Amino acid sequence: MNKARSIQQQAVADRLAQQFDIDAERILFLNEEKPEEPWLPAESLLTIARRSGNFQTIDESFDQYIEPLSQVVHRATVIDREGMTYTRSGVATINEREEVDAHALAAGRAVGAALTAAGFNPLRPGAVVSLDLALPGGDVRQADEAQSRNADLRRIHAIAERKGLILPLPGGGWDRAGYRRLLMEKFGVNTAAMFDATQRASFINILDQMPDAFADEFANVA
Amino acid sequence: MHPEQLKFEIYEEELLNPLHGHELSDVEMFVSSLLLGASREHPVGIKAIILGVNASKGYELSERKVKDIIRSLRKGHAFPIIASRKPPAGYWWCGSVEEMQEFIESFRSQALDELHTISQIVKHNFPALAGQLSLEDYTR
Repeated sequence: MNKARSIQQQAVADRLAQQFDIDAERILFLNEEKPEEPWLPAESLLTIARRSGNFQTIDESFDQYIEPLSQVVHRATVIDREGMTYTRSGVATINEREEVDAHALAAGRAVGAALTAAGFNPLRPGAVVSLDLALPGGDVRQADEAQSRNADLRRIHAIAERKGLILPLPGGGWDRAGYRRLLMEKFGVNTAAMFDATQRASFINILDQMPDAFADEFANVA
Repeated sequence: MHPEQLKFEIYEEELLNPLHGHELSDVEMFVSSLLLGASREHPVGIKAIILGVNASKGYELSERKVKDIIRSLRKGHAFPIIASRKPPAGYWWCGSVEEMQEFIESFRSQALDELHTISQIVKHNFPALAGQLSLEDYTR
């Protein structure tokens, strides 16, 4: 069920609906920290991207259900006009949000991530990176995976720090004992660097749902 | 720990706790990550690194710059990135003790060959300087 929108949120939704000819009712606002940041479902993102004419192909589909983690994984692939392929996974936990079904959430994340990787931000249409390259297919995938791994690791470390899993050491550096414990518990390994894109998205989804360390610290304060 | 997991562990540890506090630059991070997907059977060559950086970062590296980056990853961050000049030629993260032993042999032979070359040049053309040649000169 959709929560009541603020005046600012309604204005953002109306503007996007008018600009891209999409259904304003399907635009959600899921980020509590940025209440005016819109969340567009996969269908709306696909509509906008297809109309842009910047892509040869855009596909999105259900990939897998990770039973031990109660997560659904969707996968999106976009091929831009230069023939560059970007594939990204989107992950959501069952019952993660009240307002939106886990499959819709995962699909939206997958499409959003794939379009972002291709340099296309639906809120800034036209911002597509033009890559004049003739890389063999395997090399393209390796380069994309290298870039994606680093971006995801930066995000994972930032979230893990916020959740108190990576702690600053007095003499400098970071204690990641808690972080490694969580990795072992959930995935049976002690580094996220070896994960593929789907596993990284799955781990990010787990981290995102943990309480912030700051909130925990004061959880028992009346 | 399984050697295949070790390289990923070393890489992530370096991101969080860089050796001597010297953080990886953006392009060093990219090259390290690119090479994590490589192996002895499928190494990544200089040309592929140049194209990969161009595709992902939007600028072109020279071959010299790629070699400098590899040197920095090895020397500044102690990453066990090894290479082969024989086909399939290229770089990859070391996956076993055997691979490292082979690389040590190859690297040592190359260094000794270069020292021998300079020794020959100096002895034949600048004999007065020959007495100054010592291994110490090349290990600074």
